[in-house]
This record gives sequence, structure tokens and C-alpha cells, in this order.
Amino acid sequence: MEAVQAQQVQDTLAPAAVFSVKSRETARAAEDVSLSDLPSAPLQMTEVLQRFTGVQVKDYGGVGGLKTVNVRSLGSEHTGIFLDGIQVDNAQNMQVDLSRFSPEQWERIRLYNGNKSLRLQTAKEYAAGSALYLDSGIPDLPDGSQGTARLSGGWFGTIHPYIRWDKAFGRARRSVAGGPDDAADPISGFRRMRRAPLVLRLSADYTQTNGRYPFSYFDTTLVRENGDLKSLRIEAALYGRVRGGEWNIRLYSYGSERGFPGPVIRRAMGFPFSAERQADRDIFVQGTWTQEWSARYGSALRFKYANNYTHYATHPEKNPMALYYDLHYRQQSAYLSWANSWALLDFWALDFSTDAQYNKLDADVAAFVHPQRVSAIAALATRFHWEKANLAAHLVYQGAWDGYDAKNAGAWTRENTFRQAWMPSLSAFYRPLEWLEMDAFAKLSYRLPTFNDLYYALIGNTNLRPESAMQLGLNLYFQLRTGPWTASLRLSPYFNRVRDKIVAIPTSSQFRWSMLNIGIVEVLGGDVKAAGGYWAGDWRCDLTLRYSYQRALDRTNPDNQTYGNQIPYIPLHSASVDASVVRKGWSLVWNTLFTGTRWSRTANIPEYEIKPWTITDLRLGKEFMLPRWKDGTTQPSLSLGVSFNNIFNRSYQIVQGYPMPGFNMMFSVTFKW
Amino acid sequence: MKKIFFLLLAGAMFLCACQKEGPSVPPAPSRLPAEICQAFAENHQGVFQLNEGQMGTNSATLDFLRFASGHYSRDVFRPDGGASLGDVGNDVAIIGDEVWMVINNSGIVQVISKTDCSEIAAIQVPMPRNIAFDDTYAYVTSWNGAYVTSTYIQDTEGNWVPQITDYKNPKGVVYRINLETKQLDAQTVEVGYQPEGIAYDGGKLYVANSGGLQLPPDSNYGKTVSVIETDTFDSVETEVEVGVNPKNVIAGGSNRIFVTSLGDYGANHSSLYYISTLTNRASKQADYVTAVSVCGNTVYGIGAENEFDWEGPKNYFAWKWTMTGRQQRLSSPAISGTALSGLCVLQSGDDLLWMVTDQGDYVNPGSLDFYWKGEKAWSETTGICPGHFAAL
Repeated sequence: MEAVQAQQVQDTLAPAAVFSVKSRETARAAEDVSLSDLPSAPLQMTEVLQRFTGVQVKDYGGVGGLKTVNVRSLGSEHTGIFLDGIQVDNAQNMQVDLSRFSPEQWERIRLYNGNKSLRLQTAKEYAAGSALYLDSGIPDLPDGSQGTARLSGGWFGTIHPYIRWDKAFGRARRSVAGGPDDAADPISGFRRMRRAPLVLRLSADYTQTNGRYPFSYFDTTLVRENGDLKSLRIEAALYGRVRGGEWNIRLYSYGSERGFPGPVIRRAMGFPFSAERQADRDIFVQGTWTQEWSARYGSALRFKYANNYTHYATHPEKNPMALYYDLHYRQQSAYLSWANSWALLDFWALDFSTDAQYNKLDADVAAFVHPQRVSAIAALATRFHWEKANLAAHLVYQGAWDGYDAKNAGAWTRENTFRQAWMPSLSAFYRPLEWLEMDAFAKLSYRLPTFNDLYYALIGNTNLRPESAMQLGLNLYFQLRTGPWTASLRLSPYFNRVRDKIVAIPTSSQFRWSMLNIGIVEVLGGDVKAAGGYWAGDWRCDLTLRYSYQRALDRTNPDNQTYGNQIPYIPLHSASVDASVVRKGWSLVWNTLFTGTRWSRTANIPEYEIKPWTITDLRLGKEFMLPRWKDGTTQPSLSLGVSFNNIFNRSYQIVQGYPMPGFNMMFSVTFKW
Repeated sequence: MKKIFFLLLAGAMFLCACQKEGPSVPPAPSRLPAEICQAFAENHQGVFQLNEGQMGTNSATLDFLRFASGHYSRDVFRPDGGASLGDVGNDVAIIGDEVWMVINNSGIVQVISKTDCSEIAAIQVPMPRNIAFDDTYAYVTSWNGAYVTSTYIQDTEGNWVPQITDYKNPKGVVYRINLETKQLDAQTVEVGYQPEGIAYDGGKLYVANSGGLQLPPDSNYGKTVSVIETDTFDSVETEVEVGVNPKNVIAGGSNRIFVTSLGDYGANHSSLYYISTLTNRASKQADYVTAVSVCGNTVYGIGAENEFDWEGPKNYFAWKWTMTGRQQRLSSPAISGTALSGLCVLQSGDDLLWMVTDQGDYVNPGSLDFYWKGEKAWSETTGICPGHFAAL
């Protein structure tokens, strides 16, 4: 699957052979999954992400539990999450909760380590330590309409209806061969099919689950309480084309109410673990306009406005062990990006992108300083593309100006409020043989302290510096294709060093903490991904084996007894197996995920060892093709799917104290037209 | 090398003949220097040390040092089934043949036998913090879900002043548990905000109201000790003013109560107050009080002038205070550590054994350092966040 995708991007050399530099990527994504090709979609994002090499998903359990992703032990704050090329972020704590996104919203998910260097990308994409791309895909509808409706549900009272409908306005022109319409989309890489000039996409989904799954606590079995979720997402997007360019605008709204079950600790019988509840309402509008102004020059303009509201309360009336909190937060951000690319020569391009962003956080927390931040990022990139080799060099500058309301004044103050960083990176790619590619990169990136790090009333520290991540990586790709067989192998050794890591330290009691730049982490790792496929006749068989090795060591203080120990929650070894067989509408998918020994603390002693676990899921599906409608353009289909998750009912935890569900089943019925 | 180092530091596990689910690698036993063992074995069976554990991780543990053998055993008690002791062990005290532990974030007061660590009772108390005893009852302070939200409004002169917007049972209470029946009594006494330490002397309870959860800039730390008559046990009889943010209250015998005040992490540093139960008046006696141990007529303590400096190492020193004199800094022992939390001093003839707990980086196991005759003689690895002693 991957080999085919890569070829799609590279095959568009034909239209403007002189300016092949326009559409080629310097280095490919480490992971690139096309979800629409999967016979049946998993219910949760983590099911897709946790099998990627080098990725650690922190999952607090259940459909509604917090889920964050950490790539190559840099820390989740260094991973940028991009929805159709625009970053979704959270200045408050820089944790994007992936439980808010479901896989069926996306056509394609990609993971880049280090360098992504595609023309007309935003400056933020150059700055992120690693980048996770969630692409919803541009509906390739020449005319008429199409849609998908799905109803999923299953254990723990889970219900999840989903609907998506695309409508084309106007008729698609026959595209001129060699013209810009025929090229692959420079941003997403999707082939631009003969698409109608204007396409409307509406989608919505609702999720409800009671989260009451059984788990074992020493000798007893308990049931997870207060882990229920109700959420609703509604989206509308317009995709349009103009001569030599295209644009899209999207409105996204998400609301949810959920409980946090809390860590499983010893609790007196009458007291619950937690009665905490959180309600969220997120709205954003974002848009992109890319235009090729001439054969050599193109630009992209992007904007985003987001407004996120959170209400968090501990409800001590239901839990006498809770400290009373009833807090309301509102975050707003406004973002503008202007990307330019010049094809100076047939093998040399220059890209310049600049982003500006404004973030503001308001809350009714006592003594809150209402932080605001203006940040600007400018990225200058130069790319060389020859027939068998690429070279790219980037220089990124990030400046952030913070302001906050001091208690006695209504105005901004300007102490310790400016932070800046220069982020250079270099990457090279070489393809000596048709079946062998190699690339290498070196990158230095920074992440700013979050608002919580700086200004949280009980723990903030306004003297914090940005945290830096230095990455060195090498990738070797082998690929082979003979007849119906394909095989590929990726080997990726790497070395990362994170300095000035922002760490929370309790002061005199566990209720008073402080944030300090004291950590140093060194990571030596290697990813291996081997994939094979057999596609012939009715059969489509695929097998992917992944293995990751990560030695992530604490190098903060040589006098400390934890110096040189593995940092918490990072396994030394992890692996996954994905196998799928598809024939005549039937599909069978087998996933196994193995996480090796980890420690819950930097003291790597047996008391804090978390034993390895292996989880296996099985998905079975059948697609029935239905008779065409009267006008006969598309063929509707009805699919049935059943998932058996954790079929061996293993009890396991990703984060200590947060048990994950045991065996459960999910069913789905999907209608496409 | 590292593995051997940890194995050497881990004590033998089964000295109390206690039920225990041990670690996967059996540790080699280690022993306190024989001289120390001999000095104390006759008069002291041993010392219990309670580790708080990291909040939210169910990692409170109880350790025991036995002088006869010199073994320091970690994690000597687990409830039935080898389950965890609980989350945030905050106080440990011995009465008769029983050891009472207050497990703050589990809402449990755990009672076990002193001799074989077998379980006697687990009593449900909301947010319990510290414990004291008289002949009939155990008294436990509780935060009772105390937190106050406030916002700032401008008063008529344009100054920003805090205004309490909402609260839920803001003040703490003292619960009592019948020593024989182990039943929690329905009758409680309301005290101040976030009550911490508690001590009993001559028919009265002394409770420190720390007030630590109200936010800066006023800090709103408490600075009083509430006095309650145990006969009536219905309301606070009087309030005694002490230093800001009082934490531990220790009965020193002979009508003496000592109170440690932690300070406000800013202008006011930590201090030690003395209350005579005859007059119920307090007076400051010592400065820089990280931890204290009352030993007969003397209060021994450790402190650091740079106690609020979170980024650099703290310069600890030992001191003592007697009824007759002022606070006296001691050059011996030369105390050092990263994040010292608790102190227990035992005397044998003219020699002193200083046992000092160090919480290290607060998330990894801490250590218990032994200073004997002025020298650092030994060190044991403890559980996470050690700091609470009860000596037999």
C-alpha cells in the first residue's frame, strides 16, 4: 500500500518535468496509512497509532479516556498534530487529546519523524519535532453526491452513529493533461481527480459509552465507574477550485461531557475513586487557499480561528475524598500562515513560510493571570532534487511574546515574557538503486513552555526556557515488486537528546509543585518495519511487522541514583503484527501489539517494573454491493463488521493506575452510496 | 553494577513474619553497623517508618527497622490478598500493641499488630491527616473536602481584594475512633482550614490549622492551633496563635506541646513554637525547622536557611533546643541531603542516633540516613517519600 502511494506522488513528474522540484518530497513519512483502504475502520485513533514504530500512546482507558501520543520519547509536547495541514494545539498544556478524533473522519494518517519538507507547508510544520498528519481527504466527486452512514456499537453501552455526505456543484471539466489540475495536491499528496468546481461535505457523529468495564484489582474484580462519555461532532466543509489553484474552508464543532474515573488506588469502601466531570465545547474554522501564480511560483494562505471551552468540576458532594474544584476555562487562538515556494531552477526550489498566532487563556481560577501569547514562526527552506538524490536545508525562527494580567493592574506586564529559538535542520535523500532508498536528517527543534508550566497559580514558573530536542536519524528503505507480490523493509536507527526538559517537582507537599528546566534525556532507538503483500485476482493479503527499540535514558544529574536509567513508561522493546486478508468483500484483520518491560519510575528496580503485555484484536467484515441507483453513477454498498478486541482478555495498563478494558466486541453496519 | 548496588541496599523482607508479596528478585539482607544495634537493641525493639508514596499511584508502604538484627525491611504490611497499603501514608503512631496508620488519599485509618504486622482493622475516615490518642479514643484530623474558590473584585478604592465565591464544607474536623471497638464516632468537632498535626495532653487536644490550600498572594495560611476538651468533644475551646502554616504538633510530656510551622514559602521561614498547656500560650523557640524529634527534655531538629530554594542544593544543619536554653546549632552531625523530610533521634547513654529521611526527587525511592556519634554511619533505601516515624 505504501509503495503504491509513494509512486502516486512521484509519478506526476510528467506535467512539468522541468519543475519536478515542485511536487517531490525530500523524505517520506515513517508511517503512512490510508484508512479508506482498511476493510473495517477501528473505533479509536489509538488503535491505529499505537502500532506505529517509535510511538508511545498514553491511554488512560476507555473510549473517553485521555489519549496523547509521544514520538521517539521526545515528549508529547514535541509532536505536532495537523488536521489537513493546520496544527491543532492547546497552549494550556500542549496535550492534544486524541480521544476527540475518530478514525472514520480521516482518509489518511501519516507520521513524520524530523523532517517533512514539502513545498507550501506552514512554518509550524517545519518547527515540530515530529508531526502527525490527519488528512480528511478532498472528496473526489465529479458531480452528484455520495455519502457514508455508519452505525457502530457494542459493549459497555457504546453507540456511535456517523454520517458523511458530499455534494458536488457544477460539473468537472475534463482536466487538461499536464495542467495543474492533473498534478497531485502538493499538500496532501492526493491525486486530484476530475473534481467538480465546488464540493460541499457535511459530516457528524455521536458517541456514547458508559465506560463500565470490569478490571482486576489484586484479588478482586471491580467495575470502572464514572468513565462515561457523550460527545457530538458536526462539521461542514467546502472545497473549491479556481484557475490554477484551489481552496477549502471548514467549520468544525465538537462538544462532549465525560467523567474521569481516576487512578485505581486503595479506597475505603464507601468512597468512589473519582466523581470528576468535564464538559468541553470546541469550535474552529480553518481554511486554505493554494495558488500557482506562474510556472515557477506558488503560494498558500491558511487561517484558523479556534475557541475551546472547558468546564471541570470534582463534585465533592458525590465524593467526600475530593478537593473542591469547579473551574471554567476558555482558550481562543487565531492563526494565519503564508507559504511561498519558488522553483528557481529545475532542480532547486526555495520555500519561505511564515506563521503568526495569537493564544489567549481565560479561567475563573483564583489569582489567574489570563495569559496571552503572540508567536511568530518563519521558515526558510531550500531544496535540491536530482534524479536520484534530494537535499534540503531549513532554518526556522520562532519568537513568542507572552503577556499576562498582573493582579493589581489590568494591563499586560512584560517581564520574562519573550522567548525565541532558532531551529536548523538538514536532510538528504539518495536512491542508488530502484529498490533501495536512504535518507538521513539532523534537526534541532524547541517547544515553548505551556501556559500551565508558566502561570499556573500553585506551580508555575515564569523563568522557564523552551525545551530543546536534537534529533539525528537515518532511514533505509528496501522495496521489491514482482507480479502480485510486494515486499518492503524500513530500517530507522536514530538518536535524540532532549535538554532543559520541563519537569514538575513537588516542593514541600504533594499539593504544591514547581516546574523546572532540569531534565536531560538521551534516546537511542531503532525502528524496523517489514511489509509484504500479495494482490492477485480476488485476493488481497497484507502483512506488516513492526519492531521498535528505544533506550531512553535519564541523563539529568550524574550524582542521582537514577542517572542512566530508562525513563518512565518507555518500553525497551515493542512490536506489532498486522495481517489482513480481503477477498470478494470478505475481510479479516488480525492485529497484535506487544509492549515490553517498562518501569513506572526512573528507579528501574523490580518494585516499579511493569510487566510486558500482548493484546490481540480481530476484525471481520463483509461488504455487499447493492444494485445501482437509477442514474447509475456510483454503486452503493452495505458492510457489516464485527471487532473482537483484546480477544485473550488480557488485563493491562498503559499508565499505572488506569486499567484498560478486557475482552469486548463492537459491531458496525455501514451504508455507502 | 547498578543491580548489585540496589540489591545490597534492599533490606531483608520477612523479619516481621508478615504476609507480603515480595519483589521479583529476592534482595540480599543488609545490616546496620553492629555498634548501633548493640546500643539500642535492649531498650528499643525497632522503628516503623511510613512512606507516603506518590499521590495517585497507590504506593504508600510501611518499613520496619529491627535493632536486634540490624535489618531494615521495606513494605512489611499489606492488607489481605497482598493488595497495596494505599495512597499517601501520612502518619503512623503506636498505642499499646497496635500500630495505627493514617492513609490520607485512601480515606482509611489502618490498624495492625505491632508484633506480627497482622491486620486488625481498616476504618473509613474522609481525608484523614494525623492521629493522636488518649485512653479511650484515637483522634484523627480531616480536611473534610476543604477548598475555597475565590475571585478578585475591586473594592471602592479600586484595590483588588479576594472574594470567596463558593466553598463546600470548608473547615476541617476532628473525628474520633473508639480504641476498643474500632468504630468511627458520629460526633465530630469542627476546627480551622486544613487541620494537620494533632496531639493530646492532659484532657485536651491541640490541632494545627494549616490552611494551606488557599491561594496566593494572601496565601491564607492558617496560624492557629485549636484546643479541644476531650471530655465534651463538641467545639473548640480556644485558639492559640503560632507561626504561619502550622503542621506538626507533638506532645513533649509534662504539659509541653511543640508546634512546627512551615512558613509561607516566601517571607516567613519555618519555625518551632512551644505551648504550655497550663497557659495555652505559644512562644517561638527556634528557626529553620524542616523536621524535629522530641527526645526527653530536648528537641532536636534539622533545618536549612535556603529551605525555599527549589533549584539549588539545600544547606542543612542540625540544631537542638532545651527547656533552659535557646536554639543551638550543632556542628555534629553534619547533616546533608536533597529533600529532607523526617527526623527521629534516639539516645543511648550520651550518644545520639539521628535517623533522617530524604525524599530525593519525590517520585523515586528515598533514603533513610543514620548519623551515629556525629558521623553518617549508614543509609537504607526506603519507599517513595519517606518521612514518618514511630519508635517502639
